[in-house]
Amino acid sequence: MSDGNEFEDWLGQELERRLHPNLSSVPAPHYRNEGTRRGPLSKFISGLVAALATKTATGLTVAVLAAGATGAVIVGVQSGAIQQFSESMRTVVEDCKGQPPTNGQHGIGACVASSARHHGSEARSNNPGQGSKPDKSGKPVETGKPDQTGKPANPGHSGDHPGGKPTPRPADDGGGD
Amino acid sequence: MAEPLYRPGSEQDFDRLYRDTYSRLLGTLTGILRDRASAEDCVQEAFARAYRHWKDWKPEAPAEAWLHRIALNVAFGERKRRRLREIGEVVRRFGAPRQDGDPGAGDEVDLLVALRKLPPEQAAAIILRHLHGYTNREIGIALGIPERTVASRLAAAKRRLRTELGPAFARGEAGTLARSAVSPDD
Repeated sequence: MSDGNEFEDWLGQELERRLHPNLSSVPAPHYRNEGTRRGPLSKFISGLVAALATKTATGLTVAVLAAGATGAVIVGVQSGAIQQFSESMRTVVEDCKGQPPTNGQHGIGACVASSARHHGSEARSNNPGQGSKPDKSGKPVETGKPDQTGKPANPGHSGDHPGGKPTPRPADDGGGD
Repeated sequence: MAEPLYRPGSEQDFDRLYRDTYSRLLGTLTGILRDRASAEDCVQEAFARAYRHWKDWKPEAPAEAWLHRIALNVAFGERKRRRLREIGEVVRRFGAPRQDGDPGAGDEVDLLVALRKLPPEQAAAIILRHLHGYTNREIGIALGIPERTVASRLAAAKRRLRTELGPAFARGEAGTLARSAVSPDD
């Protein structure tokens, strides 16, 4: 054991002799001006973070603005022409369901098509500048009934059909709210 | 180690802590790194890190042991980087790394060279105990290990040091072991 203690004593003395700094005074600390003394890695990382933060903020702003604009357009369209048209067509379908079959035909297809055509003609005459093509004859269809063949009048005119491009219904039509 | 009272977050107390402990931290890191200039840089870096977290320091842990933990982490990181640089340099020059992993050690018998051959945590434990007189608890805080592990780590470190330095020590050359050219004052 004495050999062990001797070794430890020697170890302590040698460490003291070799590692004691023997400073006459403590140097000035660097920790106070650490904020202005950054290495290249920390500068690179902070620059990267700043760039990413800027890009993220810009992207989020653009996304929010785009989403808001799209939502506004959709809401405007839905609450406008499409909503009016769908309301009026719902009324037409209900009316057609209440009518008896004519010329031995079953179903309400001919009735609905005729009413839609009538609605289209009215819309065009009330709003000539809305982009809808005028009727070739320039006259509105007078009846909502099928013609003698049992087919809807002017069947090739898809511009007035509900499956085609919708036409805004005038406000005085009673279809809107 | 008599522990003066410090208050977390106090600027004056941190300045006092710096003045009180700078010299001992420099001694420890010189033993770990064997290079006075690198040790000084690492001590300053350690104080900078400690300063950033000074308000979070818990007075239950002795302030100097807490500082030693930060400083040793900085020094261990520096040792790893230096080792990688050395290996890269050797590979670049000769095509294969040295097997002893301690360039410049040669055949000399030197306490600091022997310390350098120890795992860094064991070398730090030896310095903290035999240079600064730390207790097992303080060494445990400084190394971030449980107190009960400190004794076994110290014993293992001393066995390895005796194996390295023993023959010269037994021949009565202990007083001249420090003839090595490696000196912290170089």
